[in-house]
Amino acid sequence: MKFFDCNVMIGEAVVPIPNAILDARTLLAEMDRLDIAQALFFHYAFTMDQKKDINRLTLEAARQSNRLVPTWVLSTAVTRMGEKLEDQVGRMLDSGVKAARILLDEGPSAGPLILKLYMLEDVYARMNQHRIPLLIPDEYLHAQPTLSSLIPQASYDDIETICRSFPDLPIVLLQPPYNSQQALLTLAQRHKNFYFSMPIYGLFRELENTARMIGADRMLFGSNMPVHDPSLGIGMILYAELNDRDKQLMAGGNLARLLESVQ
Amino acid sequence: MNRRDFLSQSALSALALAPIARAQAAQGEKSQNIFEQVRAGRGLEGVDVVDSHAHIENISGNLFWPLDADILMADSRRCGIGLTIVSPFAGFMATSGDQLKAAHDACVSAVGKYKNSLRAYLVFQPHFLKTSIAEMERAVEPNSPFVGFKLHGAIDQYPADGPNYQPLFEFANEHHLHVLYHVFGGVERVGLTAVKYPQMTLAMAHMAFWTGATAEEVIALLKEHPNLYVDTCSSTWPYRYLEKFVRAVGAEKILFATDCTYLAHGPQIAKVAFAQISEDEKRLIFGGNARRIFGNRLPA
Repeated sequence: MKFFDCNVMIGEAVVPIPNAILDARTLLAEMDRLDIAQALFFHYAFTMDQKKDINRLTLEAARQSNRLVPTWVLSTAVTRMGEKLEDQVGRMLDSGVKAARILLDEGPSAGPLILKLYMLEDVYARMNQHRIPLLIPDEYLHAQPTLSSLIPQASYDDIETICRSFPDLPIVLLQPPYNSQQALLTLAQRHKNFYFSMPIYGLFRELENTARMIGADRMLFGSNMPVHDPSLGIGMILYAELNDRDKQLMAGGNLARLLESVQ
Repeated sequence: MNRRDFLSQSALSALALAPIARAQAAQGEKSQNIFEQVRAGRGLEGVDVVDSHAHIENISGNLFWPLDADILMADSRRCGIGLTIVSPFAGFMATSGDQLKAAHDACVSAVGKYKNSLRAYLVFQPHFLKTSIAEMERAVEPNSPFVGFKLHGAIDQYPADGPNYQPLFEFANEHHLHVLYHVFGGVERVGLTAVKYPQMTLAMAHMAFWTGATAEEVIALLKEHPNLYVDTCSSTWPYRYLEKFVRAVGAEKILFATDCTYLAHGPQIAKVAFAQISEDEKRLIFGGNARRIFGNRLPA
């Protein structure tokens, strides 16, 4: 079973994460130990030019191994005179990056996360044009503040609107909890471009029964390492009552397909 | 004395590891270690696995939650879990004494069907005190299918040191029984209870997650109270959390648990199997500790 993790972070945070994975070499060692073939990752930074530095560090780290696949951390608020947020999509593609993710803006001057079309429509449109997957942590959709950011003003309603408005833009919800099943099933049934990661979505037979309802091609292995332990997602797929084809899709095939579809 | 010395010299631990050694011998020298078996997605072989926290329920929606003992036992067998201790969802959800009794009766039937691989906890409901007190006697009947008690403080909104739990703790203490408690109202109250009733063993479900306690606070309690344990089941799991606890308090204080048929088996097995701890420590967590705690209340 070839695992391709869609949700990994390296780097140190201001409030240290226990067992943080500080660099690419350490991440690769952990991937070797657990036999994870590839990881879609970003390198965290907390600086005055945060998103730019994150993307720079991510690209640097990705150069160390083709098993490390960079994720572009999307700017969701302008920080420069005359800046157009949608222009970053071109820079991302020019850098060879094929997936983007949302990360809360942090620090005292940062505004709350807003995913609504009036804020980001042009960015979504550009990503839709190139079929670039957009990864959004589920935890941002429940109005929970973090230590260094305001309460996000985003919800499942925004996910539904984005999916409906941009049908070629794959939306990947990261780490939804098991009791989100009604929203996840509905979104997946309504929108072919909606995906989500496990394993917190992990009630008994939840994975198997969800696959029966929406197919095995909508769920992705995402560990959220180093916050969460990757063993849960690996174990969930390995021991699922599914055929090997479906397990492989969830373990890495679905993510690989999404990245290969980027134009 | 370090932990390895303690293990090698402890008669209790030797007793706990005896069935494991037998199982290892039966497997021969070429058997894969626990990590390799689980990474291959195979059911565990040569490992004495006791799931100390699982659930059954006869009513099944058959969509997301097929919950009965048959499906639990089939899945446990597939994963290599030899013995499972369940409590009935219907016991937590009971709104009358009769419903609580009926939930326990269902456990008797289930264990009767799976004599060699299933045991049960009695649910003690603090809001049905009279029935709960009467029911707890079932734990000490000859050949009882009940090996201890499950208290769900979160559902009952009831803290460990609440007065209605005290008859149960006195009973468990008198009979050296095990109590599994989903913590409500703060872990410090669990510590007070462990001190007050030293002859019972008390496990905090889910590593005492979602109680507001830090890992360090839980670790401090585990160090302080010899009769206090944690179990491993949870829907989330901080990176390298098991390693942290094993280093801090020893594998002897940690019980393997799945929370099936609420949660899925695979993640719960993998979090122990893939942890960077020794093979002996994994075997203690998977089953050795439960064997030591429950003794001959469990089938061999």
